[in-house]
Amino acid sequence: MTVIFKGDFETGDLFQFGEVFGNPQVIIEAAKNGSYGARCVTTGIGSEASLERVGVYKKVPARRFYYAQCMMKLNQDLIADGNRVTVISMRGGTGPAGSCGFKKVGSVLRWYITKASMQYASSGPIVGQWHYVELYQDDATGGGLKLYIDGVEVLTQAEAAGGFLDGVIWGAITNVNYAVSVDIDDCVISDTYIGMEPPKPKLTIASSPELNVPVYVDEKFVGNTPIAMELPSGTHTVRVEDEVVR
Amino acid sequence: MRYLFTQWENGSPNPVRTLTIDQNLTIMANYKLATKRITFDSQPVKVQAVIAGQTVNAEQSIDLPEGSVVTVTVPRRG
Repeated sequence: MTVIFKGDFETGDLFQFGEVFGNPQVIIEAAKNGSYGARCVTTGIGSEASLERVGVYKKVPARRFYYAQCMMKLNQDLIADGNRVTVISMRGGTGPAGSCGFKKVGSVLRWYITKASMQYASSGPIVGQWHYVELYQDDATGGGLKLYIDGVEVLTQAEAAGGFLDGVIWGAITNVNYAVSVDIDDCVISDTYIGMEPPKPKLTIASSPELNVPVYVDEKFVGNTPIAMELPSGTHTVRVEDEVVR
Repeated sequence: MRYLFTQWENGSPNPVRTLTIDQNLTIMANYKLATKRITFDSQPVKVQAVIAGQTVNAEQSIDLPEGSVVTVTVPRRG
């Protein structure tokens, strides 16, 4: 895999990206990994005729196909059927190419992809939960779009007309007339499938009897027993208090 | 009540341990209640006492949880 671009907001600002739409906020509360993520909150001026955009854009060399991924979390449910939010939009020249997001259909949130037409998956984002969202587009005749959610291909669409791709927008592009909040982190563009990070091993520490003992991992206080945490593979030190008063 | 670390689940007696983590792992820190040794005696006759519900002979010792409040009962007549 060749990572062509990675924007993780760890600089604490939006300077990793070339262009900004609306007013995305780089904040600690929007981070999935590391210290920062971007919270994209729309102001409610969207409509199907004039979508509101709050997000970031990265221009890349023009080519036929790309994979674009981000971590995304929807912070509250959409209100009405027809309300939709595009999370990743591929660009070709001055206009949109293919895109993906989610929409309220039959009172249920459902993932979608769209270029020639909008197609829906049977599932959608879970409010408050982070998801891996990855869009593949081959903008050549005979190519197509694929949407992967949390490492699973959920939608595919054939490509009708040829073209090229030269940029990606991540954020909240929406038709709703109220505030919608979406957090994004770890934006990636690649020339091959990106997928999910492998799960980190989990360490669980308990005491017997259970005394809520303070625990230090790599000399940093992490909490009291019983506690479970993901740690990078490798060597770690674990220390518990040698005396506890209860 | 005061508790003292005794050992990890692998028998290591040091409350600091080094782990190589490459898969899910559960570890257990074991503690014991800190105790104090109480020795009972009686003079001039040797009687039995009941201390914290245990019968104790004169000149015998028992271990009780540190900081605990216990009742000691001895016979009215020796």
